[in-house]
Amino acid sequence: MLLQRSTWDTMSSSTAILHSRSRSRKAPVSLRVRKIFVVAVLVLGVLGSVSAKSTGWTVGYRVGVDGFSAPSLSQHEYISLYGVYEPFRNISVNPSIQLGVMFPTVTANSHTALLTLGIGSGVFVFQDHIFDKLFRRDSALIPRVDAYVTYNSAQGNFETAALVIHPLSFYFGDKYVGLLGVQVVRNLATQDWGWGIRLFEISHYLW
Amino acid sequence: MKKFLFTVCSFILLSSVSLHSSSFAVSLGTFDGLIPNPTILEGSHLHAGIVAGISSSLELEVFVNTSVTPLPFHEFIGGTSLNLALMGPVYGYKSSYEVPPYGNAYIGIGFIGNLTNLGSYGPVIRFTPISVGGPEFVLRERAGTLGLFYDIPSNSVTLFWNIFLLDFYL
Repeated sequence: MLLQRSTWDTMSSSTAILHSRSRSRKAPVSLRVRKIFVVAVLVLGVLGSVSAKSTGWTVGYRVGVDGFSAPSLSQHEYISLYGVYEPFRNISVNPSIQLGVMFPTVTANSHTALLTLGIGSGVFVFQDHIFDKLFRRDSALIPRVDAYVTYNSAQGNFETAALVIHPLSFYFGDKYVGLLGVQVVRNLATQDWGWGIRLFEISHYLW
Repeated sequence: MKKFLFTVCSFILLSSVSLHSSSFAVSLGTFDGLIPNPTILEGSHLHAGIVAGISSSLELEVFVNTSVTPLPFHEFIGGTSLNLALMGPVYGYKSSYEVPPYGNAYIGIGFIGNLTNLGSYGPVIRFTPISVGGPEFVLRERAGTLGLFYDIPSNSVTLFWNIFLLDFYL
């Protein structure tokens, strides 16, 4: 519960900061946001190098397929590619930091690729779950909650913040497979709400 | 034409049920295509289907694709495909000493139609370059399936794709 609370607190505070900044869209604020993004990337890089000392899987990649019904995002299918870092491998729900890019499979109406930065964590671990017999390998059902923001590098602003709930996220030791995750999307410029579905997601650990 | 489509679909469904194959799978995945497209609207689509092995390297697939975003279940695209494994047999392994190939690729020929308005239908050639797993492994993952579709009513050619497909063998 402590882990969940801290994750939620972090998410809500970062979202609030973004909201307050996107309301006054002057040039200095945009510059500050860029600096924050660069610092976030550097911090992620430093954390990534620290992971070399830990044991077990900590770094991997994630591929997802999304669909949205949200302002400022294309209605076409999106592909998401993330690098994933899990700093606390001794915690069974595997909290993670993600950095990557998402882009529509069909580019239309000036919708371009977006940089993404996010955090996430499993909520519960079900070792003996009802889908276990569908897989040859031993698996655990770990419902996950992820939160991420998208950054439009062409326009220099954060576009959306999203919360993803993965009820069907299967853990196989060296990879995750997620199906039909539900997303709530907030447009940071217009303050509109939208929604989306993460149809499929696979995460593979590399190191 | 509607009667013809109904007859073809019914025949395929009945024949797939009567296969008595133990290599029978339920498929779940994604589906999309180039826009503008006579068959599908803008948005993301979910793929659901069944796969049955009819010989060691040949399988029959029947599927339905439906829109998920922005309008869930707004349209339905039905189809069938006969897939040939290119890198070795997939079905019929009875001896535990035989090891089926874990990786494979498939080429298929089939038929797709928009079931919502019946205004678009035609043959499709599908190619799956990456497939891992199979009936012996309970689960199969297919990635990057491309389909070249000829729409008969509009006399046009377009491209479909399934980025991921998961087959759960029962």
